[in-house]
Amino acid sequence: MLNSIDDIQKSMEKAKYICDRSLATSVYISQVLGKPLLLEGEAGVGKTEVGKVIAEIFQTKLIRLQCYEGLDSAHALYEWNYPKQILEILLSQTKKGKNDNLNIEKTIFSEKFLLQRPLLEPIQAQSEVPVVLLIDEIDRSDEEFEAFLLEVLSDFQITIPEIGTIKAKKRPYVTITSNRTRELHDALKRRCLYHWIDYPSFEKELRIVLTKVPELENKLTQQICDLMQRIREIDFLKKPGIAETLDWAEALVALNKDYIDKDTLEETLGCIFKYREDIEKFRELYREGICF
Amino acid sequence: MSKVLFSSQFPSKFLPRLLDFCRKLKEEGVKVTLHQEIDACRSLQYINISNHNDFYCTLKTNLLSRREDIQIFDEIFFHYWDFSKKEIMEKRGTDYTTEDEPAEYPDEKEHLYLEIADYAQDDLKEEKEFLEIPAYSPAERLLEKDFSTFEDEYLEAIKKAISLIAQKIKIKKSLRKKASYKKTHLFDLRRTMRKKLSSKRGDY
Repeated sequence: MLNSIDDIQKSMEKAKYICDRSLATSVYISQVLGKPLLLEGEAGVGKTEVGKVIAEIFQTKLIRLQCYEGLDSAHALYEWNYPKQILEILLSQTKKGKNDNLNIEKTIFSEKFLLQRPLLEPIQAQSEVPVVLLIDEIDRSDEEFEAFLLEVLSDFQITIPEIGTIKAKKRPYVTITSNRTRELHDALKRRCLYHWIDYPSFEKELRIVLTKVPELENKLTQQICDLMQRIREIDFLKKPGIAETLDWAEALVALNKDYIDKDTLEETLGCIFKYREDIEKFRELYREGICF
Repeated sequence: MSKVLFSSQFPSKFLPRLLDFCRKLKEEGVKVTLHQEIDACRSLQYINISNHNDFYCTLKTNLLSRREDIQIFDEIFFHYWDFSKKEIMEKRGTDYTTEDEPAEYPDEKEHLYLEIADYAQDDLKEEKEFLEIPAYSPAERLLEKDFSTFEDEYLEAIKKAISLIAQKIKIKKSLRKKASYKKTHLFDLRRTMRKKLSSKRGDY
């Protein structure tokens, strides 16, 4: 059990996630209050990683629900195992010869024939330590699904008409991430603690890169972080996050580069930018000597 | 029967101030629900509230739910609790202090730190008396302050306030371009002139 904000921060750093005190506070409060933690921020700043790291520091299982358009309760919560149910009916017919309808109905609509999906699994979990439920990119899902989540997130219980209400024995640690492609409903937000993850400062980014890519030379790391900070000051379609910094750093290690020159930069631009327009804009700025 | 929402160990004198702070946030348009206020109170039991940074982060994570509100929250928070913004912002980095080693506070803020520490040490016996004890008032403190000791932030705020007051009390000249709702048959010379001058036809 991690009993203080310091413990959380140190453990996260041990798990190679450099976090500031405010994020550690949010994680700690979320743990002690048993409230879901809603993380918002630009793509690639390390929101999903928080969920993974929480599972690692609490040494518990991570259950991830990747949201997408059209996600419904059948894919997120539970589904009846229809082939298995049909087989059970056929078997019971051959065994008894007579159809005991009531018994069959009770049998085939029991937990044995339930297919667990990511939301049901943490509620039915029997482990001593609560599991971590990561609901990733919730803004991609439909508003109907968001409304459906309300029961799960407020009471940590699920109602299955054929079985009844199942309540979690231990509240899972829930982490929800959003890229803010759409605004989430207030009803969902007020059930969560909120934390905005911003782009890292130069010092923090330097620490992250040195922790994640230790084989990189100090001078080259500084050069990478410095360039990334300057790129983020310019209005690109998609500003590179920390994920892009790490990708670029790993690419430079793979290419055995000791410093960044014009050719290296040109060869590895794909690691930094994800849009053709951004690459062209960067080339133009580089040619004109603006900022770089 | 009412449900016990937080432990009786919670410094009761502190509660009215926290609720007042939430009210101020709501006045500025930040959506703060009752549940969030209760959770904020519960959260404060788990942290060292004399640590300004932890206090700030805890209230922020509990009471906010939109990125746009962060700036409003910061403005109200630093004004209301009279904490040093610089001190907290510096600590928002990766460096941190342990709970046993509270950060050093400037002399002028020392009494406030002591005041909050006192809140934390309050026990249940004092619960009934909290309304009788004079509480800290930011407005009163500001009234006693000398202008020469004001920080740049305060001076900026004063400038803004003066310009707002000036806007309100300035002599307003009529800039009416549309007809008044008042039912009158009198000829409006200024409106007619403006209409003619702004007309593209140029038939005057």
